[in-house]
Amino acid sequence: MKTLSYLSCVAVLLTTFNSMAEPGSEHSGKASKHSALAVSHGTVGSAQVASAAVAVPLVVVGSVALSAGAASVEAGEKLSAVSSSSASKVTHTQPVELEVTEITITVDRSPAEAMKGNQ
Amino acid sequence: MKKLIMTFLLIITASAANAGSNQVSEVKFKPEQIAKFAKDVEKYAASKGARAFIISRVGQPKSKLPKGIDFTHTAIAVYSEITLSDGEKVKGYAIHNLYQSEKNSGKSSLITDYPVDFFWGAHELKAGIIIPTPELQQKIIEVIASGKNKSLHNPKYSLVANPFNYRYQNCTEHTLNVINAAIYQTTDMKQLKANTKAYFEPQRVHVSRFKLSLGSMFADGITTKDHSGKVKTASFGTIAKYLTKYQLATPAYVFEA
Repeated sequence: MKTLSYLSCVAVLLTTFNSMAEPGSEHSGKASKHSALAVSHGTVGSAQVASAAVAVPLVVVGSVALSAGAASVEAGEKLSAVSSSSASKVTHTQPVELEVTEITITVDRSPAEAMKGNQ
Repeated sequence: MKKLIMTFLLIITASAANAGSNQVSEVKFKPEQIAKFAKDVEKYAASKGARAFIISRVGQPKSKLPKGIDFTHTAIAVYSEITLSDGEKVKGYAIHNLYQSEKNSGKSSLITDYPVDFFWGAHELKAGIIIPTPELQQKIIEVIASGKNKSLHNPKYSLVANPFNYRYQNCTEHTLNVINAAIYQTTDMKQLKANTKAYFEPQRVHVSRFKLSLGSMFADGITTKDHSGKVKTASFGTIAKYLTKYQLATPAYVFEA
């Protein structure tokens, strides 16, 4: 009976950790996710689903210099109206709305999954 | 009696195997619902001109989360030029995560995914969003674009990692490391941890240390070895408080479907 009580306590305690846990990497579900999205998008109109190969951060012109290939420079809004580095205050301009694609992007499938999809 | 004990042992083993960040096995919403919500989150951030922001999701029911913890996974979303598999280039957000390894819950890796992936297994269609100041956004982007975020990664994972040292790490601590590396313009971990200790207030984990220690005996990915005294960890809420306290972000926003 003592052993049973002990094991009961441990089982209850461990379920506590399950609820704190967070589903993480989703690699093995990629292919089914991509398919499910493609099917669902096919029923709701012209929205597309696409796999992404690479993402490069976009930075504004005149911002921190980054090595070639590390980021893409985008002509666009300025961070502030201040042109002199000696200014003591920075005036924040109204944030400029950014463009976002309508395409639903998901991580690309593994080569094995991609091969299955191509058969 | 023997059968009962064996049953309990199986329960314990199963629980231990799942006590950590696991592969998403159950999708709670229809794909189109998740896709729409994910796109709405992107558009919200884009409407605010956010080039980099902290994003979080809810992976478990609120009733099962310890007091003070509202979100279960935190990462950094960066406005990016995304090249699709067919070569087309589009604009949107890529999300930079620390995820537990599927095969070893005591290890983690840095993985980039996209909003629909991020919310795929969410328990609620709810996002926590913190938008840093434009200046801090630029610095965060630099840390990630230059690859410095990789040097801030410790693959030894603990669900309740202590953000004041670098013995173990969870997703929120890594996010905090990237933020602080951007603020202090250094990847020197000793310096970053000293600054974290001085200025950051972590979240108390309202689960007894005894329970946590017992759990660590059966499950990788949970340990109290990096703690002395009460167990405290970084959370979305504490990062939000930290950044707003030092005027480095607007107040956190919860975006719901």
